[in-house]
Amino acid sequence: MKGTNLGEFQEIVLLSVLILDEQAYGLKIQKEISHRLKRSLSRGALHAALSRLEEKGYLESRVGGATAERGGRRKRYYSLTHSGKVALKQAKELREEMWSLAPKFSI
Amino acid sequence: MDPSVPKFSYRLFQWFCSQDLFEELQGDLEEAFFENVELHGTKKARQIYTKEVLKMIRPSVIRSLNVIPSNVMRLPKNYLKTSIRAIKLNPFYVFANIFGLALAISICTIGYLNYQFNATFNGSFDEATNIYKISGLRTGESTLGTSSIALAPGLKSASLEAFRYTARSIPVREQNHLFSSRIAFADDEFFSRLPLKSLNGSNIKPPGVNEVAVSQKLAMKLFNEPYPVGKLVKLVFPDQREESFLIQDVFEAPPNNVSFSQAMITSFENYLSNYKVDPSNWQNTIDGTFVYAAEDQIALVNAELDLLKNTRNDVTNQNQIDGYRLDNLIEWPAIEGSLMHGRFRQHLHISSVYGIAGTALSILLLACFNFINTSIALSGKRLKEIAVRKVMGGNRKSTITQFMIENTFMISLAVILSIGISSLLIPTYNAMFERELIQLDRVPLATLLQFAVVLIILVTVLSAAYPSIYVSKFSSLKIFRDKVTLSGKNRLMMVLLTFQFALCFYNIFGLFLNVDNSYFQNNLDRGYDIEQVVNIPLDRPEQYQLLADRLNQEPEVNSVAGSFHLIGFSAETNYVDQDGLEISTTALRVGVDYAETMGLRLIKGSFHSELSDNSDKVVINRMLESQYGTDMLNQTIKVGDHKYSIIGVVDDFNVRNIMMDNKITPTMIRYSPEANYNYAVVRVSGSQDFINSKMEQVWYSTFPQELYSGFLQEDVMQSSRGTNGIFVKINLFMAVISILISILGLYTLVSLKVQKRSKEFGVRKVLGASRKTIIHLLGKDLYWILGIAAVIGLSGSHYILTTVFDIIYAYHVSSSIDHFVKALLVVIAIVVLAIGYKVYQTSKINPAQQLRSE
Repeated sequence: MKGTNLGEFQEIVLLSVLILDEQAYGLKIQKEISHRLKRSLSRGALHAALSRLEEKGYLESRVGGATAERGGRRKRYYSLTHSGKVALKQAKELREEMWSLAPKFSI
Repeated sequence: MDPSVPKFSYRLFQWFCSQDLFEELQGDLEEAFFENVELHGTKKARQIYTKEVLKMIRPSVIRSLNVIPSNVMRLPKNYLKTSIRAIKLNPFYVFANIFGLALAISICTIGYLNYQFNATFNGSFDEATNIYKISGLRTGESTLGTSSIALAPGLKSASLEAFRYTARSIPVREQNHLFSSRIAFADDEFFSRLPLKSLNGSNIKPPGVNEVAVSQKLAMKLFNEPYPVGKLVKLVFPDQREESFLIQDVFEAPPNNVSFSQAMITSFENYLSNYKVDPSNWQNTIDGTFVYAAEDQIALVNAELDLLKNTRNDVTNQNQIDGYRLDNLIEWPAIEGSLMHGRFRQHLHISSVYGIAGTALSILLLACFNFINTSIALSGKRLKEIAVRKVMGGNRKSTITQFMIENTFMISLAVILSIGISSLLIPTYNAMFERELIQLDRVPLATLLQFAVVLIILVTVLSAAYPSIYVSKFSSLKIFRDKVTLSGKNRLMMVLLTFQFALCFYNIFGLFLNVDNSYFQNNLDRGYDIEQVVNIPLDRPEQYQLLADRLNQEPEVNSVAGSFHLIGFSAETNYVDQDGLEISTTALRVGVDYAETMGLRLIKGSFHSELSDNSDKVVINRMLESQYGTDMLNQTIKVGDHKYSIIGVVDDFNVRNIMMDNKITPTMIRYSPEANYNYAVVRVSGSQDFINSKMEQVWYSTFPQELYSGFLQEDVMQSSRGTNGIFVKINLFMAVISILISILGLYTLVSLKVQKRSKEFGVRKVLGASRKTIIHLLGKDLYWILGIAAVIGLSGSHYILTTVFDIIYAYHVSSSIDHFVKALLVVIAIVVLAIGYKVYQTSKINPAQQLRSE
């Protein structure tokens, strides 16, 4: 398996899944990210990120029940695994540590 | 209607998306789509959907490409690998094989396209099947191609759609001189039913009064621009009346295989007005009348024609007709050549189509047989490979597959190579005819592909299947024990080789004979001097004196004469009577000095002279004199009731061209007064090109308003030169190909034998056989093959060519022992060159090498 480092975009995806909690399926995640980042994101690009994160073991997914609105097609819900949460926490800590070391910062 | 996702994008997505992802992703896309419909409207939503689908094209989404299980793919790859290695082992044989096959395929392509020329004749017209040409049937005589000018109006009055087409050659003015061109006059229906394409893309419309549409070629010639619409072209009608015609449009050249050919076309009204023709007079004829009719109208047309036939026969008393026949525009070109006064382009002669196709097929067969022979011979080296394959679990099927793939691979290479060869051969082939028979850019791609596919299948079945099956049948045990021998004494192979060599002999003999004959024809003594004479047709006899005076001032002009007939081009037949013995005699009516100008050789007496009254004096040739058997000088003969006295006898000379049965005949030369002159005949010194252009220059300085149409006396040779040229070319070509192919076959046969009998030769040598014996043993079969082939080929060639020559030429060389010996020597020399080294090497090889098995 490739490196387990978290890229920026992957971090955002993980956070979105976390925010959406029970409602974290493809389209919702896509909208959440587009909304936060204020730029459009294709479903294809999101799929690439999601499958990569699942491969790394940070995400797990389950198939939901069928609903009428999608032509009977089932949704796939994503949730963070333990290692996903650890990785997210590590990334946050690393940033905070580095921020604290920066002597002075102003915009 | 409910908005739905774009169908195509959906399908596309479904096609490329991996199956386990499709449900989830499509669900998301569809949900987003319906949200977008609410937000932005259907159109925008559909756009977004498509965009999203396109962005899905990424490795993680696309389904795996391994649709075909990997082991299936691997197998042919290995087959191909083995094939390429096998080819690399024997590059010479393989190349020779491929080249032979490619050559044969190219010739087949030419044969096929040649056939297509006829098959698609007039096919470029959409409505050709509903248009019929009308010809007149006559009892006991050939059908009349031309028809009366009043026929079409007659049909029209019965509310049928008929139209007329007639073409003339016409002088066209280009600055200070004239040239001859071809103008067609056609009714309006012609332009709509058999349209000509304008350069601007539309169809040519019927030109109005004094308007004309010209071909692109003529436009370039006249104005040096492709589309000179609105400019004027000056045409010269009878009585030197010049008319300016406005160029209304320019048409693209139609294919060469249509019946109609013209450099200019205009309305039929312009024909009536400019040639002062009465359209209601049944005696006036035009080139062709056509009728457009659906199938259920044919009976009606025939009934109407039956009525019109009577009207016609009542009015005109010549060429009475029994009825009219209708020929569909597709079928008509095949019979046009046999019609009396057939003025349209016609099919390529059927014998030439089938002749070439037959030749092509026989060459293809030869090449295929050769391919079979070589394949089998080469596989002798690979017996162990076959055995190992079988031992390792390969079955016969896989061996066949291996060899089939190898052979098919080589055939494909041959096909590719043949494309190159064809592109070289086709222009050469076209150059043999006056118009291009094969216009590659006009052949639809589908036709070519269809032909290629059929040919490849045919060749593969013919040449790849047999060797593959033959080679695959050996058992591995026998191979390992060295008990397999490829049947070197393959009877089929011997027969084929004999056939190939017979063809070789045939062509080489033919080549020698044709070259000789061509030389013979060119240098045949015709009894007069053929070179440096220009014949100038006159419009009016009065032109003669003016022209002669003008010509006599030119230093290059040696003599000028006038004449009614021309040696080689025109004459008449008279019945000469002396004391009751009547002889059919060719008569020429010529002016004073004509005989001298043409260089006729006087034996005794004198020619007509200017000083005396010539009207009852004639000169005869030696043949006529000898047929009377006495000295005819100063005797009197009778032609009809008129008496003539013979003032001279000339050496025999050929009155016509030397083709067909135009042998020398009894001939007399009669006197023609100047008032009857049709031609001015000039003997000029200088090169061929010079003298004709010199005469043209003199003509235009004398008659600037009239068309010069002088020609060289040498033109009388044109037909024989053309025929000779084609004969020699085809023979040379066939000779080279048959030599190439038979050598390949021979080489293979010898190699096979050497391989098979290697041990035998070793033992023989050890026991004291000389080199000569070995060479003899190797060549033994060959003597027979060559012997039989020589007998068949040489006698066949002698017989066929003599028959053909008898038909085509009045006089020809006869085959002599010389030709036979030469052909024999050439073939033997080629055989020795081809296999001599191989045989010599075999005879020289150390027997230890041949006998050692490890």
